[in-house]
Amino acid sequence: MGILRVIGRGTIAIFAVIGRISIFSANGLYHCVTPPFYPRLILRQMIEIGYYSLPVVGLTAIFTGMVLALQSYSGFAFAGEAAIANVVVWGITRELGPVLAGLMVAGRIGAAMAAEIGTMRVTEQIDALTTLSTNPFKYLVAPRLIAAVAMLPLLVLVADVIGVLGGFIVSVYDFGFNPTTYLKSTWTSLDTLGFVSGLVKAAVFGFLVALMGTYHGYNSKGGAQGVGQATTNAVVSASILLLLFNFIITAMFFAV
Amino acid sequence: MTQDRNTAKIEVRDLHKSFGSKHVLQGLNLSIEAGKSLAVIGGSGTGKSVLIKNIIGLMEPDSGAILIDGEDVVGMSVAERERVTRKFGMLFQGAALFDSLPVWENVAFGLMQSQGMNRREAREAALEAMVQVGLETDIADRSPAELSGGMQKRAGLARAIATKPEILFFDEPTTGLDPIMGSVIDNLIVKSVRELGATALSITHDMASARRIADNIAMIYEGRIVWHGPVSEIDHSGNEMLDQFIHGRSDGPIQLRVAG
Ligand SMILES: Nc1ncnc2c1ncn2[C@@H]1O[C@H](COP(=O)(O)OP(=O)(O)O)[C@@H](O)[C@H]1O
Ligand SMILES: [Mg+2]
Repeated sequence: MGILRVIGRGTIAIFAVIGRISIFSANGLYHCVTPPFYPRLILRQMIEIGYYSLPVVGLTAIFTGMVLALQSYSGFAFAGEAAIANVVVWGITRELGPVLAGLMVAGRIGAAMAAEIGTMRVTEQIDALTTLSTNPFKYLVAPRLIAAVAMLPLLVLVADVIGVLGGFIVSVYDFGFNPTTYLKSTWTSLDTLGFVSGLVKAAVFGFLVALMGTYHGYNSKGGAQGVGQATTNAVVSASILLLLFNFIITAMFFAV
Repeated sequence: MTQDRNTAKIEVRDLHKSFGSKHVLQGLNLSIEAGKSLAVIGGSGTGKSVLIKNIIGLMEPDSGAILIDGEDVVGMSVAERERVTRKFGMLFQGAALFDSLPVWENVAFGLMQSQGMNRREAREAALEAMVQVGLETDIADRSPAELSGGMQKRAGLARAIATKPEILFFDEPTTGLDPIMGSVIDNLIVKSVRELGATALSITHDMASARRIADNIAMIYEGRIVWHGPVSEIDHSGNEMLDQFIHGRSDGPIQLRVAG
């Protein structure tokens, strides 16, 4: 009996959390599409998410591209440069570009959102918004969701280019491949479906990161410790959800 | 105590609010006449903030009615509720200034967001409100984090009065300030409320402050108002609970339950 009760309780708790997050995100989405809008706030978030994440995303991408080239060379050297270009392009655009950029942004932006909104919660700034006739969902949640969904695909586009460049650098300067043929193979291996799936993933990951950041911040309680907890929860839950949705989206695009 | 519905600006009827098994408000009744200032006093954790949050709409009561100008706001639609909220201004316990915005934008926030004033006009109005509460206008572009506690309270007050609300709420306005600064803030509150002709509801456990800012006092205990009357009568009310609270005695009808 005891074990059934534990399982039952756990199941109920999980569904309660899923329910709360669903309501929160439906609410957030509703406020993304109904006025008033806050263009200044959206722009500020876009700069924060898009521009200031460039260095970390770029560095992640270039090393990943380089390592992909090294690994595939050690594995498929016999298959020639076309195979290596192919592995790099597919690996970066389909999986590693969006996933690594998403994880980096989860650490950088998800944490910052949870900390900022969590601090606003425990210092009653969110209550103050309401008393000043401003809906906190419109003012805090919607701009972050919009900015993250818009900026993540752009970041991933940059990551794709830099990642492929990383593979190119290793292939040309380390393995001595002919740059023109390598680029040509890169171009022919680039497939629309794989590329588009990567950008779709990016948009979904952006939504998940902003959703977890705002959700945990918004619901944080109990002073500085609560805010710290919210920050950790935001990053961990965003990362796990991101990997789960990466699998789901990949299955939707490529599983027949 | 009159219960004349025509003059009550705020009326709370049989308000209940629980958190889990903790029954915080247990059928609370309260009414404030237009243009009067009421201070609700009571110990820490007795539900003063919960009461204010229910009235403002930051929390939904479990049952009961809250009438603002005779309109019951419980269960109102979001849009209707927003119309009522425009009558409110509130000074929060920790000032609750937005730390992402400079001081003047904090003060001008309600003007720009809910009254649609443009930035230049709003800045002028904000500077005016800052002068009213004794803030130097050269701090307008500073971040709230750079201000002292007293200055933050002043800025919070300026933000609350900038939209010229009909009803002002003050949550522990003097908590965390030294006694002199506390009395300065109290005097500013009295002056602001008078100039606006507003109705005021303050909650506090600071009796000196309550005496300064209120026309009437209501004492909350175990989720109900146990005494309500003019400030001039509190010293000879004959109410044991009120007496115990005013004199800060540890023995009497009010028992502190330390274990929660
Ligand atoms: N959001 C909440 N969730 C659960 N309990 C709460 C919440 N807000 C207040 N309480 C509880 O209600 C009681 C009254 O709190 P409060 O109104 O803040 O007291 P005070 O009179 O000091 O302002 C406290 O016991 C507090 O723990
Ligand atoms: Mg309180």
